[in-house]
This record gives sequence, structure tokens and C-alpha cells, in this order.
Amino acid sequence: MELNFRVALIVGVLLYLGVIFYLLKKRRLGVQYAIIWLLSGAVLLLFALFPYIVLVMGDILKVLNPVNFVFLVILAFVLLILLSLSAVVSGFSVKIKSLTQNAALLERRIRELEAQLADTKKEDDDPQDKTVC
Amino acid sequence: MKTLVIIPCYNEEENLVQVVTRLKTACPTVDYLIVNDCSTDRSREICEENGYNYISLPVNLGIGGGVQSGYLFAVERGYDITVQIDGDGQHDPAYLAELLKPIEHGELDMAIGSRFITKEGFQTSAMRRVGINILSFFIRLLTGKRVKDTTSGFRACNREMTEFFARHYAQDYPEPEAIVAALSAGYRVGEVPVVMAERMGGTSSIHSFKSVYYMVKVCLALIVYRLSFSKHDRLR
Repeated sequence: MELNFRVALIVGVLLYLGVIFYLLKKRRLGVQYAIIWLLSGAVLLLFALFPYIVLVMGDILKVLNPVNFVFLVILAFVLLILLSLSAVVSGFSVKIKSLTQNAALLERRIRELEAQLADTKKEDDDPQDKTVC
Repeated sequence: MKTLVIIPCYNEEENLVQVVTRLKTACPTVDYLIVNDCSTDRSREICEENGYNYISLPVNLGIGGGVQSGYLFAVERGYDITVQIDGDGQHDPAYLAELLKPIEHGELDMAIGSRFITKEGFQTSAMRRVGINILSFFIRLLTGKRVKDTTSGFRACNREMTEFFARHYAQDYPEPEAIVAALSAGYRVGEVPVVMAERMGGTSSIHSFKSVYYMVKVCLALIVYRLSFSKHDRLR
């Protein structure tokens, strides 16, 4: 890996990690979702600081240019993060469905109770009923 | 036995009154529940004005989530049998007694009203029949059971099946998926001949039926359902 590329990578990753920490600090990013982002940043930083790892891995996988290995890892992280987001969204849709159904059932209960309440009020207002009681 | 008829309803203002009136005259002893799936037309107002039994979802969930709300309601109120009937009037409540028979006699856990056994009445378009047959073949491949009318939304379930569906029910086009889930979990599913009519008004929710996307999605969902449900999921 050329020095220029390494410097660019280090600067980029530091910015990237900075944004992640900023969002975490502002509580706009949940820790459970931040872990994978932080991990991806840490791995890229490791590659930039110790290019030897990239060279060895590039050799083992027989990629033409060691930099391609860096791209491969970035792509793998992107896929992983996207997949995890789909999983999170699926979980949300199940929860939203449950909440919706529950709200509808509760709304019906309220209607029923209101109707019952109206009935008992009517009976109380009716003096004939009172004498029977 | 305490029976609940679930009528999922999404923008069915043209059909709703007729569906409920026909049901009340044909089967005065059963209870019914309209599930208004956040309709954008006057469906909810019609329910309110006529004093119908209904629940109204605050967010549109689609037919699966709507029907499942009905199953949840049935479990909450302790119904013995739950029936689904489409809100568009293509299912004749006169056949309800036939549909309930195998459930009442304990022969089946889920009875599906099938228009392809006696082949009477509205047989739907050729394209849809091809789709339904492919699904039928696929269900047979996955579960070994032959179900002809795989997309029929006219079905009756006993209490155990109702509880199962209250927990697990597919969302988008749930009819074939529900069959696979029920069979995979070891429930007895069978068909009862019925005659269906063409829908009375409005448009069907499955207008994209012809699209390849629907078939691919359903087939994939069926495989997933076959993999994710086993006899262990059977309640009790």
C-alpha cells in the first residue's frame, strides 16, 4: 500500500470514528447498533497502521493489488451492516404489528365499557328501576 | 359451540352492509367481528352507524395482520371456533354450516372452503388458477398434503388452531403460508366444497396476483414456513 493511500485511510477512519463517537455522545446512535460500526472503523485503522497485515492477507487470497483486500473487507462490513439493519427493521415491524393489534382490541374494550357505563347511568336515572331494586 | 366469524375489511364500503346482513340472516347464532384495517373510505363509519361489532386498526397492517387481530380477539373472548370470511362478498355464508361440520365433529383443525372440488360457481381467472395450482403443487411438495384452493380466504379453525394463528400468522398474502404453517406444526387441514361468487364491488387486494414477484415471494415464504415450523410448535 502506498503511503498516500495509508494517510488518506487514517484520516478518513479517524473522521469516521469521530462521527460515530459524536453520535453516541449525543445519544443519537444506540450502543447496540454502534458496535459493528466501531468494529469496522477499528479494523480499517489497523490496516492503515500495520499494512503488513494487508500484504499478507492479499498474498494468501492471491488478490492482484493488496488494496483490493481493504476494499473487500469494507464491502463485507457494508453487507453485514445492511443485513443487520434488515433484521432490526423486521423486528420493528413485528412489534408495530403487535402494538397495532393491541391498540385496536383495547379501543374496542373502551367502546364496550363506555356503552355499559351509559346503560347503567340510564338505569340509575330511571326511577322505576329503583323501586324494583 | 361459540363461533366467531372474522370479516377482514379494507375499503369495502360497497359490500360491507350486504356481507353482514347475509351473514346475520344465514347464521343468526354466530357472532361476527369486522376488522377494519385502517380503511380510507367510509367502512368504519358504516360499522358505527349500523352498530356492527368491529375493531379498527389504527395503522394499516394488511390482510394477515388484520385477520390475526381477529384471532387474538377470539382467544381473548374464549371462542371455540373461528371462521374467516372475505369482506368482499364472494363467500356465501350459506356454506358456513358445511364448513363448520368437520371442525365441530373434531375431524379437522382447519377446514378450507374450496371452490375447486365441485367446480361450481365462479372459478376465478385462468391466470389465477395457474398460480393457485402452482402453490398447490408446492404445498404438496413441502408438506405431502394436497390442498386445491390454496388462496381461499374462507376457512374455519378450532380453538387450538385459533390460538396457534393468534401467535403465528403471515402478513402479506397469508393464506398459503397459513396452510404450510398449520401442516408443518402437525395440525389437520382439509377442504370442504363451497361455491364462491365474484366479488360484489370494489377491487381485490391481490391485483398483482399475475406478477411473478408474488409467486416468488410466496414460494420463498412457504419454504421458510416449512423450515421454521415443526411439530414442537404445536400448542399443547
